[in-house]
Amino acid sequence: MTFAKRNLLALIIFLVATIPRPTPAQVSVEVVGGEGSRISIAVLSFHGDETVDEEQRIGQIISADLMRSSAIRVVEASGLGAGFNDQVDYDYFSSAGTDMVVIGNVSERDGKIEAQYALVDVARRKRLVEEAVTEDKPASRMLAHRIADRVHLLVSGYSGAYATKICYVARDGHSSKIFISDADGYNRQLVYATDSPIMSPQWSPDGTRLAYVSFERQRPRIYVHNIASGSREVVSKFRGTNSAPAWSPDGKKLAVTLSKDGGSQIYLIDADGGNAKRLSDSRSRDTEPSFSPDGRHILFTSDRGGSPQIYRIPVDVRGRAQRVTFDGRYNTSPKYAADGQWFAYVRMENGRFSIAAQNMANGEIRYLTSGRDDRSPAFSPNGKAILYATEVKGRGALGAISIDGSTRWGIATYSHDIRGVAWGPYESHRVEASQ
Amino acid sequence: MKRLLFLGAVIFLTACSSMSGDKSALRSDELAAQEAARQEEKRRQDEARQEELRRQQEARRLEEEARRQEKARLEEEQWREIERVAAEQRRQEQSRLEEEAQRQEEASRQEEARRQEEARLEEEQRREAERIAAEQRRQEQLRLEEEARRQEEARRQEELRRQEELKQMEALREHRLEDDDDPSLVGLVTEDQLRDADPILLEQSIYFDFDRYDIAPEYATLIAAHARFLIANPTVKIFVEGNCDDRGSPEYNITLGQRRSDAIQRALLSLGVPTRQIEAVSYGAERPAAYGANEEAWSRNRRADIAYPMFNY
Repeated sequence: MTFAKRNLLALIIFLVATIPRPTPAQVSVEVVGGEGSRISIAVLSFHGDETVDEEQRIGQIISADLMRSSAIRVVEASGLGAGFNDQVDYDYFSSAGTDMVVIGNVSERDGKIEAQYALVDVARRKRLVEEAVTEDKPASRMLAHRIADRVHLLVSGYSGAYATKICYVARDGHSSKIFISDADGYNRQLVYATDSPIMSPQWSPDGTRLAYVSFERQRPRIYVHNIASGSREVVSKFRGTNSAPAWSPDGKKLAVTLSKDGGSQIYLIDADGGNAKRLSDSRSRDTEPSFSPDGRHILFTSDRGGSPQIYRIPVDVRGRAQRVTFDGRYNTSPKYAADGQWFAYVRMENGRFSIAAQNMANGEIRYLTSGRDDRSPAFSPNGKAILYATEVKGRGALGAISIDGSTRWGIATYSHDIRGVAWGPYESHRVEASQ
Repeated sequence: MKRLLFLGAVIFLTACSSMSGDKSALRSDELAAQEAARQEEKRRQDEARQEELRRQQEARRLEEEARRQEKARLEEEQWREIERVAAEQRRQEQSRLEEEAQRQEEASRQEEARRQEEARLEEEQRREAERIAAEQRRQEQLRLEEEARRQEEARRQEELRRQEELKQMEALREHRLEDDDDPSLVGLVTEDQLRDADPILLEQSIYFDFDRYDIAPEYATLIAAHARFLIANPTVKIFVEGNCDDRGSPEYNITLGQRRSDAIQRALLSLGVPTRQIEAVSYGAERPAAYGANEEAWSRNRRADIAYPMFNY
């Protein structure tokens, strides 16, 4: 399928996604390729949650999660149900070409919700795993996300990153709001609201804090905001502009862009403020630092070559910045994937801004989206998907696409504009906003 | 005097009429005596004459008596008349006097009334004057009170304004000053102050071409005016806020906005404005002056703003 057709499909999905409904997030998934190599999985309805809203059923949530994987093909099985102790109809699923089946029970006890599930290998006619998970909160969607993550890990070798959180800044007029939600867009919570601009939220590696740029004190400064407690502190308030925070992988440092010495240059500061150490030293505009997973390098945007391109610089040793993008005249906003293999970035061509990814090792480039104004890419913690800000019919929306470009989905936000997105680490999945 | 003349005339006429009557009686007596006897006649005549003489004498005496009486009567009458006239005159005089007195009394009454009226009017005028004076005093008092109130109000307002200014200065210190800023840089500016210094100071935006940060020559006057104002007001610290249109990476746009604010800052510094009075920051595309994905909106957003610490009161 060509990219043009993909985009048309994506647009249709977004159109559906932006029709206002009571729930805050709508997820639409489109699979555009790679069907043959995917493992096909049927998630049957769990025994015990027939009474709840269909959207909230464990089996449904797991199915919806797995649909967003580029490694899995979900087999429609919404009409089928089987309990944890039931025998799977191997002949039926075998003839339907289903590789794996997920069955289970769900029950509530002492205010907690518990699910017992089994991953069944249809070809080998055996149960691969039997496990139980518990959540404190009844009707918690997180329980299903955790099962989906586990299933994904078992069949593909890596977690689906479903039981994680995402963050985005929604702008409406002068009002900026920081929201967090589950990775699928559900369970949205307001973290902070102000009448000043906020941009560039970044999730701390331990999942508890957000760093972001806020203009609430006349100039852009960097704040670190504890999500659970709601407490926040200014960690970078140097003269002039403080922007583009990026956490070091150990969470102890922030790479930031400061104008305190003139121009825009990248510095390293302590995560609780202070100790600014200059990293880039140029007369050009350097910004948008992103740490490599090992913390030894930083990717950043610079116009030192006459147009914005992406460069790499070592953190701990003095070294020359190396240019890493050569394709096109406008490449910005680099973001390392957690595995360090890829980085995502925003490229501009013919006035259109889209998301691309480049392989660090061999320079392979994947043009992933071709929206009019896609930006602020953020990797999922498993490095397999990129969340980004986009627009649908002039409204802000979140888009997501798998790194192989095969699967994409969107989350409606009902806000005018999205000014930055972040995808929380695995550790973020239990974080709740204080309000 | 008229009365006296009249009286004289009456007396004269009366006297004349009595004398003519006596003459005719004498002539008839002589004719009768000639016919009778001469002797006799003569004696009779003598007797008669004597008789006549006696009679005549008697008559004359009587006449004299009558005349005297008449005269007395006339005199009496005259006296009476004179007295009457005098009495009349007295009466008239009396009545005249009385009248006069009455008139005088009336006049004096009228005079009195007039005086009283005058006094009343005077009193009234005095009262009116007093009333007016009192009113004026009251008005004056009110005016003074009002003035005092106004002054008090003005003082209060001034105090409030001063407090507000201090509050805003504190907020300014809190929000706009960095730790390394001179703490005296808390000067606030009003629109009037800017206008009075130079109306061009109300223009505070410098616009740029796409992806450019060089200042167009047409802004030289504007920037020079701001430089003069800042030099003249050394406690005022401004922000130069760079902005750009919303195309492309928000963070990369922040650096473009910074380039724009840096350019303005350099221009101001070159005109002698102390560094401490300027802070160049960037809003990137985060605070658009115009919305929309079109050149009109974009061009309005490609700008640097000179932001004074305005005193909002």
